[in-house]
Amino acid sequence: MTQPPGQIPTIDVREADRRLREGEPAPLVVDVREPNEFAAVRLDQGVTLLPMSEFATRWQDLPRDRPLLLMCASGGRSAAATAHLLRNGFADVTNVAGGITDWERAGLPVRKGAVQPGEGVLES
Amino acid sequence: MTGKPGTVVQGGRAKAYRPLPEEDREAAFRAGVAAYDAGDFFAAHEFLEPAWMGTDDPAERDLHQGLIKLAAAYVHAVRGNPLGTAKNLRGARERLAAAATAADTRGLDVDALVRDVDARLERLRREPDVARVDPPPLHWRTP
Repeated sequence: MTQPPGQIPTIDVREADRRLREGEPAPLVVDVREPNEFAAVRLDQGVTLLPMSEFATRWQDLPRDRPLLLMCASGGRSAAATAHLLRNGFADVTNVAGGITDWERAGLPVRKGAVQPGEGVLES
Repeated sequence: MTGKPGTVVQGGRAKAYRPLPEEDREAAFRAGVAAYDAGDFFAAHEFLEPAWMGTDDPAERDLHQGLIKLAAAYVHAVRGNPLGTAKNLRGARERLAAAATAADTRGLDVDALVRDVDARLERLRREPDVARVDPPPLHWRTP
C-alpha cells in the first residue's frame, strides 16, 4: 500500500518546518521508518525514532503533552501510525505528507550517516 | 531485532525477512486487527506488514499475509476497485487457508474467515458491485 486514506490531520513539510521553528510547545517529530532508513537520512534535530515494527509495542511511551508530527519516507506508514494514535486518545497528532523524501527535496536540513549515541532516542 | 534481515522462501519465491521478537509481532497483530475492526484497512495493512516479515515460521507468515491481503482488498474496495478487491481476496483466501491448520492462529477463527471470504468472492463473481461486498468480521475461538 502506498497511498494513505484521507481524514487525518495532514500538513506538508514546509508547514512541519514552520511548526518546528515556531510551535509552542515545540512539536516532537516521530519517525516511524526502520533504523536502516533512519541512518541513511533523517531530520537534523527534534526527532525520535519509533519504527513501525516496534510501534504497536511502544506507542504508549509517546508524550501526550506536546504536539506530535508523524513522519516516514513518503507519508504512508506515518498516516497509519497517526490514525492509531488518534483512535487511542492522542489529541494533537499530525501526519507529514511526503515524509523525509519531500523534506530533503525541499532543501530542509537533514543529517546522514551513522546515528550518534542518544540520537533519535525517545526520552521518558 | 533478534537477527539479521534476509529472505525466506515462501510460495517458491524469496520474500523479505526482518526478524522481530514475538512480543512485537503479537502487538503488531493486535494493532492491525483493531485497525481492521475500526474500518481503517490501510492502517491494518501497515501494522501487519512488520509482523509478516518478522518471522520465518511459514504458518505464521501465512496468517499475517492473509490478513494483509484481506485489508488490502478493502483498501481497494473503499476506492471502488472491484478487480483489486477480488484479486486481494483471492490472495487472502489462499494464505488464510494455508494458515488454518496452524497450531497457533492467535485465537483467530481462520476457518470461519475463509468461509466468509469465499462468500464475498462468490458475491463479487455474481455481481461485481464492490460497494455491496462488506468486509468479513473477525471471529475468535474461545480458549
